[in-house]
Amino acid sequence: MIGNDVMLQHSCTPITDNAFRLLATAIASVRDYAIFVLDADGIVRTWNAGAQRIKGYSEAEIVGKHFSTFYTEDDIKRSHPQRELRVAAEVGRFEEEGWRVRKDGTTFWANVITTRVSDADGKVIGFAKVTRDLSEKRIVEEKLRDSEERFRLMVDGVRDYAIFLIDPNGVISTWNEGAERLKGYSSKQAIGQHFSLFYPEEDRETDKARYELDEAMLTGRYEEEAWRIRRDGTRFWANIVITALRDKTGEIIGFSNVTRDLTERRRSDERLRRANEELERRVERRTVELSQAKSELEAALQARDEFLSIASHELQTPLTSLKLRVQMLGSKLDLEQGKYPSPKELSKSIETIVRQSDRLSALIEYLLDISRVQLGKFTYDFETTDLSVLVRNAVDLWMEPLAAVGCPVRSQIEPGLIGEVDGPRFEQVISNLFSNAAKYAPGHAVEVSLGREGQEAIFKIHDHGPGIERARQDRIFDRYERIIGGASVSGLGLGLFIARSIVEGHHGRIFLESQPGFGSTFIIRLPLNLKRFEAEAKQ
Amino acid sequence: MKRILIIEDDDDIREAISDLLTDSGYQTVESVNGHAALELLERDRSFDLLLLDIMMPVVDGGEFLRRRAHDPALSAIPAIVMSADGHARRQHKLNRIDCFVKKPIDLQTFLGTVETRLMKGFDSSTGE
Repeated sequence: MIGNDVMLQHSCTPITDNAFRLLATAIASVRDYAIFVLDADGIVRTWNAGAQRIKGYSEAEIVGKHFSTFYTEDDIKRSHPQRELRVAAEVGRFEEEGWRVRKDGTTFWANVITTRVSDADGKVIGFAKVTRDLSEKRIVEEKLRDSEERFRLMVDGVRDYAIFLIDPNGVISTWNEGAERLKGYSSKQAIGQHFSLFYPEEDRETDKARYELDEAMLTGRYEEEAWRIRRDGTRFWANIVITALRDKTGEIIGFSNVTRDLTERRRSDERLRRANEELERRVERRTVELSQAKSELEAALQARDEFLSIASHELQTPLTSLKLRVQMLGSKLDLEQGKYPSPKELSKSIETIVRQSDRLSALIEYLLDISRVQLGKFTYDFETTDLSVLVRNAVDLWMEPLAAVGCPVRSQIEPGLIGEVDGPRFEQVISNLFSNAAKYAPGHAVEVSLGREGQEAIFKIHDHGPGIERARQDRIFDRYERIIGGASVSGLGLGLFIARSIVEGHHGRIFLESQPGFGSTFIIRLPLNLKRFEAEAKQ
Repeated sequence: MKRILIIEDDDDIREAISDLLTDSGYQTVESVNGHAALELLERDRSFDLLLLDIMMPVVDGGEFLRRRAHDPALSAIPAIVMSADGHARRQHKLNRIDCFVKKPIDLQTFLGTVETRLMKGFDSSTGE
């Protein structure tokens, strides 16, 4: 083996035989390192347990062989083993990590240290080699590096979350794409800054960032939804999670910060809230409409009830004198005692009874008209009629009753106006208007006129009564609407309603011009040539 | 002879009531509405009873009663209210007019009411 004159490189004292033997034994038993000696030509001269374990050769198999056996073909081609020995011979030591080949042909990653061995004259007599198998360590390290790299790439690539690390003092140390996108700072601009950079002024004043780190330190984690500021100064609503990072000893080494932009969510929340509000507004509006409809309905019902009350009063009135007269006759009639009413009494009673019967019948007919109008069963018999004569006759008919209530009638009627009308119905309209004048403007003159404008006959009746205020003018043609409320004026409140129905049945229009204190003028415009009117209307 | 003022706008009713009361031995005076009646009563208050319709033009029965209430001398004359509207009975009961005749008038009931009212004088209606 090696003589006792040999000195290991770096050792200053010569090794005694005894010590050498001990060292050799120790080396031989080392299992985790392949330790062996080459001669100056690179031939393996010694072998140990570690060498056998790592490289697979027994001592007998390998001693006497050249050490390039342990190298890959590539290394041999480029004379790497020779280079290794040359370097070690020149500088005393060569260390590398590289692939080595086992006996079975498999390779392993090895740490190899080659040390020069010289004799007392400094002549290279061989090399000591220590080889360590790094395969397992290397795989672990590679895996770790890979996974760290992958993780870093993943974090870097996250676009929807700002993910960054801050040191225990709050200084930013890493930055990802999401952070750049969300906050508008590049990694160059952000790294090294305190993370309170993203806080609104009011939060910076209260050192909220410090409080949040303290919270994260205490409980491991801090989460909130709050405003954050972008580089351009705009605000965004964010969800922020700060997590404390500790080393194995529990010491805080920093914090991770994950920030998510909730602006969109907040916006959709806002949209939802607005939609809800709109819905509530609609419900409210609908409720108001319904309540209006309800009060209108109630008003209509009240008007109908009033109408029924007035109608029954109107019907009771003729019945009252009728019944009184009949009972009075009855009381004067005693067949057994031969008592009879006088002819004068009889005649007067009959006259009243007939008159009141007619009145009742007219009232009933009137009520039926209303029901026909409402049911749309009001029928007309249009005939070519001299309107001038029709109006003249009506004026004559009403002259006396109007005079009785102090209303002198003045009329101006253009002769020879011929139109297509239902005579009796149209008379009814004029009658209703005269009746109104008598009721509401007693003691004042009434002026009537009939003229022509183009294809229309214009009928006007003007009284000098109290007039009608603007607000009521539109309603007076409505059903049950009486010009003066309360019980002071009897009447069913349907005269104008029926008048309008009839005029419209003639394709005409009736309207009112009035001013309180200046009387009222009812105006009817009636197409004269109904057939032509209808033909034109169809076009 | 007892004097009765009939305040009623319907000619036939007024005339029939007048004929009936005249036949029964009363003296009647007729008024066509509340306004005319108040004017008449300004000049002549020598009436023992007022017969009052409610639904009348110009001054109606209700208005007539209100004005009468403010005039103690007028309130001293008893009144009978006549109306086709049953509701008016309740309404004027509230005003402490206890004599009410519903139209159409029944002859016997009517004469009985008039007689009773005249006998009792106004003691039951002085609360006005």
